[in-house]
Amino acid sequence: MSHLLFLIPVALLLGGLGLLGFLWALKNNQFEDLDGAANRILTDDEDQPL
Amino acid sequence: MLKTNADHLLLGPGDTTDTSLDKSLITKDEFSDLIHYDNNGVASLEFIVANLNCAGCMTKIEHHFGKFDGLRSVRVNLSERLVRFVWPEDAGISGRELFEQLEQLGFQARPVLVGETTEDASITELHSLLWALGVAGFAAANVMLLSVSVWSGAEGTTRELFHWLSALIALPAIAFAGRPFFRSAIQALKAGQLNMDVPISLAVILAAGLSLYETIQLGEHAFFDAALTLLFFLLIGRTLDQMMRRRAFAGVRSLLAFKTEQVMLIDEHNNKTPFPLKDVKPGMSVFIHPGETIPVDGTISDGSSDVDWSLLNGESIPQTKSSGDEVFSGLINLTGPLSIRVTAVGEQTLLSDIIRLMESANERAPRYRQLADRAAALYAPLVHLAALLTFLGWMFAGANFESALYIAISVLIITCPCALGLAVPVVQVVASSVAHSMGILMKDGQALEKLSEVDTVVFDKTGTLTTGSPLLKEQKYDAHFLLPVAAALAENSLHPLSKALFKFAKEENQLALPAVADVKEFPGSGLRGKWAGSEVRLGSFEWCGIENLLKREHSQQTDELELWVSYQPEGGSMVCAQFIFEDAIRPGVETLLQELRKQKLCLYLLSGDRSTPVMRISDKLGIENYRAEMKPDQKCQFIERLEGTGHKVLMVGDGINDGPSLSAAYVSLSLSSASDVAQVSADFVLMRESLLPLARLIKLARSARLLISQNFGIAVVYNLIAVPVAVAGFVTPIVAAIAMSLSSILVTLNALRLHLLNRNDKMR
Repeated sequence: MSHLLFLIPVALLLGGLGLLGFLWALKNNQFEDLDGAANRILTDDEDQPL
Repeated sequence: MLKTNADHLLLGPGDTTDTSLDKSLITKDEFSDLIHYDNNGVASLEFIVANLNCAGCMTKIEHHFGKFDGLRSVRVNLSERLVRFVWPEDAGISGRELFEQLEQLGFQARPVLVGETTEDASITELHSLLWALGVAGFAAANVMLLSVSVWSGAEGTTRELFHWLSALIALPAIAFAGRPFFRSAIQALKAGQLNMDVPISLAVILAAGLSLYETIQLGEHAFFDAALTLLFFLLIGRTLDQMMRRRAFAGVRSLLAFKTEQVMLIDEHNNKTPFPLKDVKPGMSVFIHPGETIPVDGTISDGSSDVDWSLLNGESIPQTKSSGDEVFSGLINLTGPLSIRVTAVGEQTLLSDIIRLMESANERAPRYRQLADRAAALYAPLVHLAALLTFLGWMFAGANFESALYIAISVLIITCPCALGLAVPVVQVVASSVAHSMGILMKDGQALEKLSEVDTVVFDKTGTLTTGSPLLKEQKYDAHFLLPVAAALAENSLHPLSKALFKFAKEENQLALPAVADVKEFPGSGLRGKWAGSEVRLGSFEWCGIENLLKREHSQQTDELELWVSYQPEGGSMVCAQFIFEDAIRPGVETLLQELRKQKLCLYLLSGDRSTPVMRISDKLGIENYRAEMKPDQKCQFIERLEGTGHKVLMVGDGINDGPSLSAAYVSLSLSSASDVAQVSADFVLMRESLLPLARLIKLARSARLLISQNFGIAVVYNLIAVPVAVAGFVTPIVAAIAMSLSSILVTLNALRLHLLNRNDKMR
């Protein structure tokens, strides 16, 4: 029982981090162009798009 | 290419002019209206690019413009085929420059309005759905973790703690993530209807309430996980649906582009000043450069020109119009400057008549109810009735109120319509992405459903079955010798035949074109210039003065698309050549028609063009049912008559004159080269040159429909098994969790088969 007191907050915290990560990505338009993101892997040069 | 020459502006209208035009005069400021400025002095402009479809295109554009002076950023969005340019306001970048460079790179670009309001609304909608999805996913995962512990034997205080923790996570999450469903359910109930969201909302709310009650009572069974996974699955479906709508919308919003906002007004002193189109009144005079679209209805007061009617009535050959003739908004002025006395603007124009016709056709068309909605209308009352009967039955059988309610709610939970809420959107999203890869934009899921029922296809001719731009078919007489000089003359004209000749010589055969001096264009006749000191003419048989040279057979004169060229060298005898053109059939049309016949579809051809060219095309393609010289309202009536006899019509068209019939038809397809009016009223827009994808699109629609019905079948079987179990009271939270996940996964997997079905099709 006592380790639950420790594990449950940890589980919730980790899940919460995942949720925050998702919401952050959403806010930063990471899901705007899924096809584009998939295709950008194929371009092998290092320089950034302007 | 075209050299700058502002002099022709100074010539009075009606003079034949040097036709070398400054391109920027032809299409004045169409880009500046579309540039979006934000408050921080940042300008942005977006283009939709039809042939943007691979990683290569993406890098090509981003690298090319990466070196462009002054641009702050260029970003390609492959999913929506958009290129977005951002630059500081004072960088002095013109939209036209960006546009021309895109074209030079080989992209068919079209500017769009940035930040159009409805588009913003759809983004916010999608974002709020994704937020809800994220929250539901997080809560579902955590509650499931706690539930699994309970199922695997946690008892006493531990179970109570876990239930309370679940409630703590689940209740706010349900309140937040369930809003899209609650809102829509309330709307439906207010309107006195039942939609899918009513049983969903009810099940979720009741499950949460029951579980809370159980938790307070320190009971054994809580359904928090079921309520949350249900929301999570259904939100996936809802989000996919919204994403698909948005993708379709990105294509359609480009239609607001290219609106003429300003015209050249002529005052009584013959001065020309730019003037806003919306303030133009009948009685005023406006000046139209060659190459411009005429924005008003009116009578020509001065000048003469060849006028392109193809968008308005589908006629392939331009008509010569001069002083006293009537012209209408939507026509394109090709060869000479025109002064027009305005008789009608805005709402009163012929174009607006057509648009009104289109709107009324739209209103008359019966409202279509999607398969999922029809199924839900059947399903929802049944589910509610089953739950109610279960409750009454158990009460009658002597169970106490609480356990009867518990069992009734478990019936509602287990029957929740995942096949409708998740599987249908999955099918539609997969279908829309397959369609997208074929180069077809789809307005919504219901268009696809309607397409699967089609039994008749009606085609327009000019611009649809044909490319709408003539191609050189035959050369006669001294063509070998005269082609280069003829092409050099043709370069100076916007007439479609001249453009075709120039394209043939310069781009396809890469001939070196000689210099021709003093080129003048005479609307309705042709062009004249000087080559090696002697006169050379390009145009009609009469214009070239060939009757002295050749006796013309009478039959040759009918409806042939032709250009003549004559050259009179000093001291020598005259030489001439004839170039015969045809309105080329679009690539893939023959194969497409074969495929459509194989699919047992009735084919019709309706055209506004004259009967000879229509007959020629229909003979060539073997379409037996054709009508020529159809006005927009006649086309529309023809289609409504067909539908009146129980046919489901797919209309394929591109012109303004097709707008009403596209709206009247059960379902419609237009082309990316089509007029705005046609694209707005169509359900599908084909972004490729070839019409061939249409055959595959119909197949796709049919297999999508098949999968949707299969999923309904799966749902029925699932319910036949699950409902009796629930009614008998055997449903515990663990049974509900397993049954619901299994059925959701099953229908989703089945929906994904659309990809497989389509891939097999491609390989064959």
